[in-house]
Amino acid sequence: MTNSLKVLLIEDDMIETMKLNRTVSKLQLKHSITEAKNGEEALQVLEQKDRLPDIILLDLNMPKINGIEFLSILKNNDTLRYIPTIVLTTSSNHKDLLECYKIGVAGYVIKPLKYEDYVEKIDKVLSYWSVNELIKV
Amino acid sequence: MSVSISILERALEREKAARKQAETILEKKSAELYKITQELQESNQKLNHLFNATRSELTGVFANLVDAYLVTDLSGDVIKMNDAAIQLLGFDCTKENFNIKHLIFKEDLAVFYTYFKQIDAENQYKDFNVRVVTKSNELKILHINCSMMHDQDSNEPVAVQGIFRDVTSQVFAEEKLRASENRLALLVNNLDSGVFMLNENNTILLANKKLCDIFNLKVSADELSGKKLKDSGFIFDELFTDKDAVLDRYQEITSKKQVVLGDELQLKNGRFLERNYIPIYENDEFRGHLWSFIDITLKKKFRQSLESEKQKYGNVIANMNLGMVELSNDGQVVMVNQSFCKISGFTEEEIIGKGIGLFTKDASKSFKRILQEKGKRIEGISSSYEIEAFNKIGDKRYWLISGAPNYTIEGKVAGSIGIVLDITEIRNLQFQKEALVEKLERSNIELQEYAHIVSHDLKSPLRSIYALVSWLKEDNEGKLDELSMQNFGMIESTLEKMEQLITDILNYSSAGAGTLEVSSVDLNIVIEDIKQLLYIPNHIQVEVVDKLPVISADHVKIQQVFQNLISNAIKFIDKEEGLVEIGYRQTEKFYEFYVKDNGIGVEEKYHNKVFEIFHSLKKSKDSTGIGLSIVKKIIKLYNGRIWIESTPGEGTTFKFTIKKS
Repeated sequence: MTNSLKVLLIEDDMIETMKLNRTVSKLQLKHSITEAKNGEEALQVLEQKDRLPDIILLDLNMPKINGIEFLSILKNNDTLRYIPTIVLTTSSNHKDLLECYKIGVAGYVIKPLKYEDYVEKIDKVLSYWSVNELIKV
Repeated sequence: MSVSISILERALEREKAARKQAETILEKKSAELYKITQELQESNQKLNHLFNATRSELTGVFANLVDAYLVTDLSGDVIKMNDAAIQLLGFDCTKENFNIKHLIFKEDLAVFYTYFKQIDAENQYKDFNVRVVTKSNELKILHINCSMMHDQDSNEPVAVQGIFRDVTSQVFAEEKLRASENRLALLVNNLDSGVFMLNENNTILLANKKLCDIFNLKVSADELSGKKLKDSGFIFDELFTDKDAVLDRYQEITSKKQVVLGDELQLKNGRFLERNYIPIYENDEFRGHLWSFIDITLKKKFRQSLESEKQKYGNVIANMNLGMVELSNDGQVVMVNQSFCKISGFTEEEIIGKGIGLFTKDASKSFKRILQEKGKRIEGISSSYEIEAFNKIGDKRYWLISGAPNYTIEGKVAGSIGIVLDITEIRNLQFQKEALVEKLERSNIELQEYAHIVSHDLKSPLRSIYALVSWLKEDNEGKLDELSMQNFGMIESTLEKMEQLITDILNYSSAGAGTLEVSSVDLNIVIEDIKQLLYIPNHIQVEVVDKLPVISADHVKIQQVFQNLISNAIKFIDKEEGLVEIGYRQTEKFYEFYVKDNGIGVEEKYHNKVFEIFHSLKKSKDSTGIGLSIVKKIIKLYNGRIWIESTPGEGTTFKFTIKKS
């Protein structure tokens, strides 16, 4: 028995968004995806307290508020800090990795080059979180 | 018969006449005698009178005499004494019988008897001293005058009378005086100064041995006294180097008759004398000259060498490039050298007597530091420290000060001496260096960040292209021909290579950047980790032949070196049985490792080229030609070097060193 997740994807790259959506539909998963092009947009989404996501997939390299800044805002919010946030990034920078875990992330996934590898990784992440018990508001 | 009668008658007549005549004479004589007797009686009476008067007078005198007086009989028993005698001796002859002999101090008894005999023989003995023991057992020295008393009628000696006086304290004082005179004489004689004293007529009263030694006189000090100066054996011409000057000075001194101290004389034998002159006055009347001479040759030589030492160090201090400042205990400048004036920009006059506030701003950190350090000097501690100072024109300078306490002869701290080195130039260079290092670090970090961003920005489109190509393939499955599908496959592999290239460039730029995080690294574990990490085909063995050391290094970087070399070795193995061998040896300063393979080998002309960036000998899908460049870069960080030993076709050995830390 798996839960269908409400996923908030924060990603500025259009093709990356397409990749996630296509992956979810290809894998015939029931998860609903909400898109935000940047941190500001994501914060607006998160203002609707009755429709909070179950998990957040977060890109680090973004204009305006970058991923790490967004993460800090999230962790300083009494409600939002409990939403599991998985970083989905190209950056294999050790410094970024350390910083993210310091602030508090539920996972750190590096985007692979090959699409097939990507599908595999996303499948695993979503499967994992869909079997987890999550705090429902 | 008649004749005879007549003769008889005549004879009778003559006799009658003669008798008559004799009677007359007798009568006359008798009268004379009576007269004389009368006179004698008279004068005798007068004499007796006189005697009695004198005698009673004398008795009164003796009784009232201040000096003690006593009379003994011939055996020495005291028969009479006055009050002074009673007081002095403690005995009273009216109350008890005592003999004078029992009073005499035992040791003096024998001599006393000889005195007593003397009295017997000459009726008197005067001016002698005898020790007696009084009734109260005190030993006293008496000065005595004695005389014999005779019987008035028979003129036989009957008694001895004596007048005596207590001279005990006087004798002791005299003895003391004599002793101190002796001591003084001894002192004068053994004095380290030559002394001689002349009276106003230039007769020598006193001279000592040292004087004779100094002037090499042929006579003894005793022989000198009493002689006239001109007869004493002093010969000016032979003694002094500049005899005229000495003579002139002698005339001057003796005519002025004033105290002269510390005149220096040079003798012909090379010695130096210090001469002092003191005129002697008694009741404002000139009585003589006292001269003293001290041989100061040694002292003078010391002084001369001291002087030259002082000169030497003075020159060193004055001419050294280090500034020198002497401060008093209350912080005032007592002395500076030329270099300090140059360093501070002030003249000596401007500095002396001023406080340290002249060079530092009051209450500034440096000002307080100097005071704090000065406190250490008072405790006798030396130390070095650095301050910010300001020279005369107000420029900020950096001074390195080495301070030490300055002591008085008594060993008390009199202040401090500081040696000052202006290190402004060095300091500025240091500041520049620090700024540069900081800037470099910043730009390194920026570069690192930049590399990551660039790599991200370059990789993102690759991923997108890859995804799009995948979708094209997916969406057009069965619609595209074989060739088109192959081309899509080639696009994908090109993208992969492109991505690898970007990754390697990022690694290469990271290799030399950032700080080395040094920890102790067990290389055996590192190799085990690499074996897990790398894909090693079944036909290839990776063997560690020596037990590898534990070294101090950055774990990530040292792993990268071995990983790149091992993967490189694996990549080029063409034999059916592949072998990668890892080992090492060490010298005093270096570890030398090797990674040996039995691969294709490298021709010698390429031995250096393989380490150049982007140079790959074998164009292949998984080789970008950066791996060995990264290795070389890291080894350089550890002050090591890397080289190749290879036989083409048989294999290659990569050898590299890492400096021991």
